[in-house]
Amino acid sequence: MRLDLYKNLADKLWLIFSSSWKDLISCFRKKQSLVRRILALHLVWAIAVYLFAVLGLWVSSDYLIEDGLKIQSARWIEEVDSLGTPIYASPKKQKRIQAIERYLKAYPEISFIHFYGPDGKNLLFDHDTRHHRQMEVPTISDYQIAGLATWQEGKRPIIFDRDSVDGVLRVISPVWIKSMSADDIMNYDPNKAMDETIKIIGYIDLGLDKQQYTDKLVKSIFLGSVAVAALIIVSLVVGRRLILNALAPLANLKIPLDRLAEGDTSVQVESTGDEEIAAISRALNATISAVRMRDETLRNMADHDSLTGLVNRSYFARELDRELALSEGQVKPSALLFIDLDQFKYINDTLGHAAGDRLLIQVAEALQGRMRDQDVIARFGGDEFTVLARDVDRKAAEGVAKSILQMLQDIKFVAGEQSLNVYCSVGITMIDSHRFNAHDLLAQADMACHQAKLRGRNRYHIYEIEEDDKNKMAADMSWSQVIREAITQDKFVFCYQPIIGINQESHEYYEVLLRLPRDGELILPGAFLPAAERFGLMLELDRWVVNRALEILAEYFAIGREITFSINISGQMFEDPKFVKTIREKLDSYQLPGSQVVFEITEQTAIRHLSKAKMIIRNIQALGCRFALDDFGAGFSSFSYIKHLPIDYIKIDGTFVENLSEDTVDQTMVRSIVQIARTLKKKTIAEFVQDKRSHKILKELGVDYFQGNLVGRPELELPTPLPGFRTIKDGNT
Amino acid sequence: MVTHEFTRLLQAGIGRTTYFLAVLGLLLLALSACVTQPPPKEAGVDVLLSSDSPEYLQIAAHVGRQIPATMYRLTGIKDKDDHISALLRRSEHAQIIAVGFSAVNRAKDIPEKKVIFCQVFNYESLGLASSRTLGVSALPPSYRAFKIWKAIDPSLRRVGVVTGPNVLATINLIKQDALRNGIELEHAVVESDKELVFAFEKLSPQVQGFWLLPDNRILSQQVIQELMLAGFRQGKQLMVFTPAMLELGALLSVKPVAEEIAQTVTSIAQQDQSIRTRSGSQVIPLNRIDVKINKKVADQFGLSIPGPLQRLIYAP
Repeated sequence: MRLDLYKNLADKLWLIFSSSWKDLISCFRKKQSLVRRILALHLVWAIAVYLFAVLGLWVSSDYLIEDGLKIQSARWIEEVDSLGTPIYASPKKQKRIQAIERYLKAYPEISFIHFYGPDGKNLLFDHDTRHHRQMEVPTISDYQIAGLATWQEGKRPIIFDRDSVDGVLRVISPVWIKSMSADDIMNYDPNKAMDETIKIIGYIDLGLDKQQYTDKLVKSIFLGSVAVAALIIVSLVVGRRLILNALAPLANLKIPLDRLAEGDTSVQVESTGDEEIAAISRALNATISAVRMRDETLRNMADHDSLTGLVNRSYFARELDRELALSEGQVKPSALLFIDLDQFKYINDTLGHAAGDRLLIQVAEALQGRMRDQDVIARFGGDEFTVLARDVDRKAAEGVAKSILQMLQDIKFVAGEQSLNVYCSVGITMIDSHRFNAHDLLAQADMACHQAKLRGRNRYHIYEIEEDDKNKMAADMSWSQVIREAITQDKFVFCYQPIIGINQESHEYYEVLLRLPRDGELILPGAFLPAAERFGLMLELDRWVVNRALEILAEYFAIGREITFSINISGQMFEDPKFVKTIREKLDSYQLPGSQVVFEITEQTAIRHLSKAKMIIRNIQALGCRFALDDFGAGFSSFSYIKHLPIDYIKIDGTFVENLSEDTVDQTMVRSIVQIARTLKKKTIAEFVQDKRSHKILKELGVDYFQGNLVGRPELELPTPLPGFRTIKDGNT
Repeated sequence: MVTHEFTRLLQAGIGRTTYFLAVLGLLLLALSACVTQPPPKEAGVDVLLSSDSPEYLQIAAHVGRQIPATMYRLTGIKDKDDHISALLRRSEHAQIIAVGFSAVNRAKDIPEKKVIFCQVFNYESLGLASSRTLGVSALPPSYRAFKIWKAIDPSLRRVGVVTGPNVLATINLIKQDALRNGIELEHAVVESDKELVFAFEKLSPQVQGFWLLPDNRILSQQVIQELMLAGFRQGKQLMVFTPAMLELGALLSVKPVAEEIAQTVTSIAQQDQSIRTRSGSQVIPLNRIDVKINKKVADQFGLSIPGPLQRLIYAP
């Protein structure tokens, strides 16, 4: 029964060990882990310690064995010296001395013994147990004899020689006889040292073989190694379990960390248990809280306007979508109000941007004060606000619009010494059906606001779907689809209009003009750009234009044709945070030098995005590209803007050029523009050059470049063969 | 006037030649009486000691009390000892009493001196017994030694003795004295202390004890200690030549009496014709013995010390 008990116990132990061993092996096959690293370090350390121990044991044992043999050899020498007396005393030649042989049998480490005469060379007796070895034992050397000739206090001198016979430690000692002096013998006292005469009558050469000790040592080390290896394996197996157990609190952090990695910032890590883990848990929880707060802040920033604190356009659009989804099946409608401040541009221009920002904040606060919590107020852009008034009918919506108008009128905006009234125009569209999506509703409200402005400002207008509005709406909606389709299917095309320098340089320079082929015609941008702007497609369109223009430019550059393209971009590109990076990547991927590209922006666009424009223009110029300010002079903006804008070219608006030959005012305007441009070290380009007389005057005024029908019409293809230089049409081209 | 008249009458009575011869004779007689007489030879001796050991000094002191003696002591330094030899040569004393081996070795090289030696065991090997040298035995009377030993152990029958070569005369005397005490003496001759141990081991089974004689040629400190130890462990009774060796396990020690040595050498020096050797050798035996008994060893061996010998128990 006891046997069964032991058997059961052994089986259980084996099961635990084998499963742990399998776990251990499998865990080493997997990817790296802390447990495996600790075990690996433990194993490496154990092996290193073991190797050092074995090495130390080997060295010290070897030393101890030899040391022990040396100590023992003194006694052996005394014994064999006594046993070997007949060799030196007996007149007969001794072939065997049984006493010595018997004695040596008890000490297998003594492999040979030689007795020599007083010269150290004459072998009187030898006994060798090394049957398997043939190495000769040399006689006692003169040097050794000299070393054995001195002794201290009657102590027997011994020389150890480990070099002359391989694997054998030779112990050499003299055989001597001693006698006291004749006078001292009569006064012998065992307690006093007395002089004695010592005479060496021979030498003993004892060979000690360490091999058997070494063999035993190796065997012991081997057995020890097996035991140590077994212990190491057991410690690894047991150690793994212990480490897993100890690291369990750390492993438990994996689940909440995985959730955190997936974006779940609501996770909470337990901070109880071990001190170290608790510290980590607390730190993790603090980090998660900070991430959560930062998340919320970023979300806030992404959804809110930084100036006014109102939600921004994209958030409002989502809320509008949500409202549309929620309103399905509901009876009560909602209203979307589009509020545009009247003459805000004037306030911005006259009182400065800081004042303009203060006004916007004040308006936002007023709107927040007026509307309910359930309503959504957004800063739509610039000086535009949108309000989603939930659960209001048409009459209530009009009431809201009126109150907003009044509320803003009541604001006395003070800036410095000036006090201004604030007016706005409000467009209303009712959300009472599901025919329209959020974009459509915004467009309707925008159109209604536009109508209010057209009708004199400081009023509201409700959007009504009339026939022409329907058509217009439909048309606009159609354009948005057409534009989207043209972008995705690359249906847009370019026309290229040449620009030549005053000296008619041979360098090819063209403005890239966007056209939309439709029904056999090339539609001008004026027809579809408003819709693109309205439906938020401008950025997409800009990207397409830039990408395609650079692509074409790269194709010509690849075949050795160095052309410069002037590409028109809208202000939306300045709102694109990736604009600079995109241009850099495109130039790199097409292997185009930036100097082949000029970006054109309108004066209004530049002023509207002035601070961003400056930064982006400089960053783009750092890539080698240049900038031209288009339609300069058309907006009555101050010359101070071109002083601060880091542009390369000023394109004089066509209205100053088309009647230049008859209009001296235009000539004066152009002259002023050219002079200022020169002072600011910028080049000038005159657009709409139609006739030779205008060209001559422009030349006299100092304009640097010319563009217009006189120079060349926009063409779908670039002219071939390569022109030497473009000349003005004088009939002799 | 009277002298003149006497002279005239004398010349008239004996004749002139006779007168002048008589006058000449008288004159010569008177002259001889005026010449200084050489002093008579001293009766003392020179005593040469091998060393300043107490034993030697004791002998010298006894000699000095009996006879005028000039003391010399060898130093072991050749130049100084040569100087002493020169002094001895110039000495008026005709005899040198040499105490110890070194002294005898020096003295024998001064041919004009008669040497009397003592405290030299192996005199035979040195060839000292000659007409010019006479000695005193270094050993106590062996008969008396064996008698005392036998009194301690009546069962004593066989005793071993190991010596170096050329001491046969001494050994023969010892053998005879042993036999007279009913003891058989086994003698072995060895050449060295190493062989002594061997011989001791060889003889040991055959004897009940050993008389360790002061033969320096075969004795070393180590061997003495080994023999004493081995003897005691093997239950062998040991008779030794100095009381100091009793503490090594010897049963008894026997040695000559210094006074007797001194008296003997003095007698020789004074040409005492009554001093004779039994065998006619030049070495005079001694009659007195100085014995010390180790009671502890005797008790270990189960021996009882007779009453008269109790006074000889060694008590340092």
